[in-house]
Amino acid sequence: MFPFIHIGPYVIPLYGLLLTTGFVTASTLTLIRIRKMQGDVDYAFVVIAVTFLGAILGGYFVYLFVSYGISNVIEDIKAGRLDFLTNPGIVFYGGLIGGTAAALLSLHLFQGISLEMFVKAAVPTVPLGHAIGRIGCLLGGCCYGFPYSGRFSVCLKTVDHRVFPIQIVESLLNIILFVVLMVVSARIKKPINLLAIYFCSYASIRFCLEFFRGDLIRGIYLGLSTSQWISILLFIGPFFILLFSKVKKRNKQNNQEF
Amino acid sequence: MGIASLILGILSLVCGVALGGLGFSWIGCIVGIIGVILGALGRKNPESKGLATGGLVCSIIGLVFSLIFVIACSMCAGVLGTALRSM
Repeated sequence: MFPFIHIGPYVIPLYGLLLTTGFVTASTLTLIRIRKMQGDVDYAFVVIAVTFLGAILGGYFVYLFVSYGISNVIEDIKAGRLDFLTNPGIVFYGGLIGGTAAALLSLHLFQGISLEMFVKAAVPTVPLGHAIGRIGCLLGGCCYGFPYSGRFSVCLKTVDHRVFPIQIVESLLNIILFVVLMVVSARIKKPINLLAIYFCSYASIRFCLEFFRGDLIRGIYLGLSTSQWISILLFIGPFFILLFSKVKKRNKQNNQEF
Repeated sequence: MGIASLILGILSLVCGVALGGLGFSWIGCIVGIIGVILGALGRKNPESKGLATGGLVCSIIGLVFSLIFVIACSMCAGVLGTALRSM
């Protein structure tokens, strides 16, 4: 739609600007929430910075394996070429998995802030940052929907036909998820479950939205896209953790009654 | 840690703001992240708190500007790659 804005002699890429705004908004909100919970803001800075690094590397590597292909990467390494490094891109799921792993690792290493507090403060802010980033996708012209020329269809510079604005739909659903998680985080007794709730909710949303996507940067295996396979895996694991936690809680209550 | 953070912060600012469009944004991004970590840890020491805070602020600004260009370049390359493959 509008990939760039011109401010005097400078050309600002809107995709990068909005994705960075999403990152900054989510981080700032996390820091405010940690300060409110009387946590150590300095350690929170460290954990957020490491999470950034994990998210960028995770998003990059998943993009590399999905779009460039594992076999091509191995071939390049065997031939001593670095062609795969000149094929950059970022996938949200890779970023989410990489960021989560990096956050857990840094929380374990630095121990200046508790895992429960960080999860409670940070998890609800992720969908808000993601919602802002998706608007960047719309303006930049990536992650678009199927060919569609009806009401609300949009014209992007990267495709020669009108498409369904799936980025706006995902953005709105992410805002709803943000509100829901904020409400849940205020009442939840075991904050680590918030991560499982987010993974299950977002995986369900993404699985459905993938059917409306029309961009070509996605591998298809057995009729489902790579993101849908990751959604299934991301849903199953946390779902069983939540179920196990519920069963354990019920057993404990039953034992106390007897 | 405070001095290291300040140096990395300034380097990140230079890479992100002045050289961002020339392909130095990846360096700015990594240097900025390390600068944020060192700055935040440096603030724990009361003697170097001022320097560390300066380093933290510079690193955050440098990181933000570098990220804008890193992400934008990633998308441009991704879209171009897809377009070439679909030809």
